[in-house]
Amino acid sequence: MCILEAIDIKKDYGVEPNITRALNGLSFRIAKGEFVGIMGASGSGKTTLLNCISSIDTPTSGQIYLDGKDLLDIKDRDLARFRRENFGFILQDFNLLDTLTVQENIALALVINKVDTKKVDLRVHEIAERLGIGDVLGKYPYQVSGGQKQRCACARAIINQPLLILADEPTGALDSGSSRILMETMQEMNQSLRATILMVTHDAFSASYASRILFLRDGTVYRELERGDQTRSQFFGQILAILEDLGGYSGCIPDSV
Amino acid sequence: MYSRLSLRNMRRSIRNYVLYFTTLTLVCALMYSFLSLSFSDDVRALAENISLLTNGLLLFSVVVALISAFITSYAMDFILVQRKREFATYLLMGMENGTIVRLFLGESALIGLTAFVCGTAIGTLFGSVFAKMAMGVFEVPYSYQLRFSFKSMFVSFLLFLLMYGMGLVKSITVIKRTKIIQLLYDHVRNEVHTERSLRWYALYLLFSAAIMTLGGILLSRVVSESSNMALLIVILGSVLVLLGVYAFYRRFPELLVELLGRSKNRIYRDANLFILGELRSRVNSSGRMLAVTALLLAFSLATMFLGLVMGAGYKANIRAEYPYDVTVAIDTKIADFDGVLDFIGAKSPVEDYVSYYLYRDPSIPVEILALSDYNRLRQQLGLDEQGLAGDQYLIHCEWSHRKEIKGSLALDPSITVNGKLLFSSEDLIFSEPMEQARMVGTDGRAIIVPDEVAHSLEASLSRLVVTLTDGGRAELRGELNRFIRNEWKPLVLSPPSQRVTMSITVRAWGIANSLSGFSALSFCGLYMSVIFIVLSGTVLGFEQLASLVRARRAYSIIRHLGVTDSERKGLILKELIIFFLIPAVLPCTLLLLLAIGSHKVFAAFIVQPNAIPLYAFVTLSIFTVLYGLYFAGTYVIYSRSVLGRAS
Ligand SMILES: Nc1ncnc2c1ncn2[C@@H]1O[C@H](COP(=O)(O)OP(=O)(O)OP(=O)(O)O)[C@@H](O)[C@H]1O
Ligand SMILES: [Mg+2]
Repeated sequence: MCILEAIDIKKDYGVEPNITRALNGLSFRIAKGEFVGIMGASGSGKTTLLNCISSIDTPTSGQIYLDGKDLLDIKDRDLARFRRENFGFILQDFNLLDTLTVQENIALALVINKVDTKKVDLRVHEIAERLGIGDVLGKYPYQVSGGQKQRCACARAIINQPLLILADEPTGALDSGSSRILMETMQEMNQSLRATILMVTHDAFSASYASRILFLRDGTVYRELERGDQTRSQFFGQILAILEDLGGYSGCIPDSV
Repeated sequence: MYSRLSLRNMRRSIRNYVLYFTTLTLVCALMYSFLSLSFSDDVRALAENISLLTNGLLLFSVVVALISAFITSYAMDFILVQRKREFATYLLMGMENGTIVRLFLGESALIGLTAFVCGTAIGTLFGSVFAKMAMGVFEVPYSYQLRFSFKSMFVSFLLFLLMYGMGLVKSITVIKRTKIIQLLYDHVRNEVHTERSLRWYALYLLFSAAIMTLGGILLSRVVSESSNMALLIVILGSVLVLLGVYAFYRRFPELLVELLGRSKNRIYRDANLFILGELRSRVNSSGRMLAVTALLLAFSLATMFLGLVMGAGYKANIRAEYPYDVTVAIDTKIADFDGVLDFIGAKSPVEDYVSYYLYRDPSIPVEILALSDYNRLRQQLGLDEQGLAGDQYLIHCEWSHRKEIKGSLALDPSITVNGKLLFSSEDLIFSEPMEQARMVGTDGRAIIVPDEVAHSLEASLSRLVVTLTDGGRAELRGELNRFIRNEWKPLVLSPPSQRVTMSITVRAWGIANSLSGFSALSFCGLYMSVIFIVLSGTVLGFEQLASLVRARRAYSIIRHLGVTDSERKGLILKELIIFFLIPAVLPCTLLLLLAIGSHKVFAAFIVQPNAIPLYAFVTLSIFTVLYGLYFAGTYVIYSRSVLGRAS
């Protein structure tokens, strides 16, 4: 079943004569339960694509369907509600509020979605245990590690059971150890919690956890790679080969896979 | 090239500069306006020994300059922190510290000078309004004029130069010493959260409330203590109250946030959880500023209120004490005041006069006036005339005697004057200020009877009231005094018993002399309080804007979580309202307590009825307007810059 369908998306920035075409006729589909990675050189339009999908930005032309619904048909005043009901976000710089504890940060997503106040604590604890951050719930973001922060962001992204989780370089600020734990967490979210994930990453290792990868170049899909039945190391090797092919790409290659 | 860069940077952070500039301008305006008031010829000419007022103002100006220096350096620090990233970029580009300092100096000089010029312009306006107020208190008609004073401009320029200069020196040392790495990370404020138990908070707050209460009790004792101790008690009481306010506010917001965090039901509703986080960070990073602001506000509300009440009390009391232009009281029966009238007429044109007697009846303990004399006196004051039936009498007394007199009238409304039975009633009691202690009675009360009854009595005291066309001059009192004591030979009709006492009042002299200390105090009170409110607003505004970087991030995070723009606007409003309300609540409550307390105790001593509730209201209104302006300004700037950048 197709959850997201993007058809011929174009996005221009700036005004004549200084127009940057960030997305240039990009099309793809994502099925329910998929874990899709997006890779590409800096400036290839990855963040722009995520912003368009999440309706934080609007494409210049093209259509985006989420669960059969055209995003461009949604009125401005309904967008925020649409966003909070259908998307979860994980961003590179964690996007946690320093002023709230980990527990409160996760709860905020529920509170904003107007979940029954009595159920909030229970659900937060449930998801936190699941993602292995049950023991840091009472701490403030500056008191926990980057990896824990990012798992907190994961918990917040998934707690409303959104149709699609959008992650923009979630491991970008993490060391390789924390990256591995985070990717295992996201895999867990994908496999046992049945979350559909669209993840932008620079890092071939992180990308190897995905089931399918789209490679962007100059605002279009340049190549697509399915993991199929390969092991993760085989998949990783394939990713590296394509990246080399893409050229001028300096991904981070960890010692062990 | 660099200067163009810095100009562009300035344009980008225009809001910060607007607030900064406004603060400097206001400080200049207030300083200049009060200096020009104290230097003004009009004010100086009011009376010779009102120098208490001008000296007081000058002294207060110095205090205000010190506080302004504090606020100026605070504002400069704020701007400096905001600009550190910009300076870091210059350093990275290879600019030398010296060049940055020169750049900074150049633009600071420009900003400072412009602020001073604008401030002086606004201050000229302020100054004439304040002068008008001063004249209002002294009842001198004043035509609204924009008058520019070089002297006060010079002095306020020196003061401004001094404090701005000190701020600059400090900023420059900071810039010179900084290295790139420090600059890049310094804009993120350290926010450390220390946890304390609820019991600790409870004890602490109880303790500070106890200090406040102790101060309050001391202040309320002042009434019974009329010796020199009174001043000491007032000072001690005020210090205790203010100390309590500060101590209370140092921890109260923390407790509030702590308690809020515990009530899940409340914080899990709407986006209250987010507001909680915002408050938490604010309380952590600017807890001390909140306390200082609360202190300033408590102080300024109290001073403004007391200043206004004293000013009003002064004005009303002086009118009560000197209702007539000139009075002469000779405590024996004399034939006439013709010689005195001739003397006065030679000095100032006489418009009207009343020469009359106070009568006595051995069976009645108070003085008696004839109705026609009484009405002539009322006429001098512009009051309506009263009539009496043949068997009626009326009572004129001070306001504070009314209750007692009503009580005895209810028991027995009749008196017998020289064998004639007269009646009175509640609506025949009058209390307009007519100088009931000397001119109309000698004991705060008098009885007024129909003329034929009065004339059948023995006249015991002679009185003269004169209304002058031009109101008279203060020197008249001395001249008249000399004339009456040394030259005038009145024809004494009653048997010469003991020494004859006499007294003279001249209103012009009284106004110029009697209570100038009072008015000086009230003006200084107003002066200080306006400045303090402006200051508090500025500090709060700066604190709010100092958290911009963090707030921008926080509000963009909740945008990702699906909070609409209008909801975010609502959240900002809520956050700001709470932030501005916290330091204002207790000072306003204290003001109300002060008003209620002083109304109970002092109302009887202030001639103008309801003066205290009225001025409590005026104080609150002035405060609300000034504070509200700052709130609105901060809200506009803050919400624009938080939401403006869609990220
Ligand atoms: N707000 C904007 N205004 C103008 N141009 C923009 C804007 N945002 C992005 N661009 C341009 O669009 C192109 C794509 O940007 P985008 O941020 O999507 O790249 P990216 O793939 O996410 O890069 P990175 O890997 O560095 O994050 C870039 O050329 C960028 O300069
Ligand atoms: Mg990006």
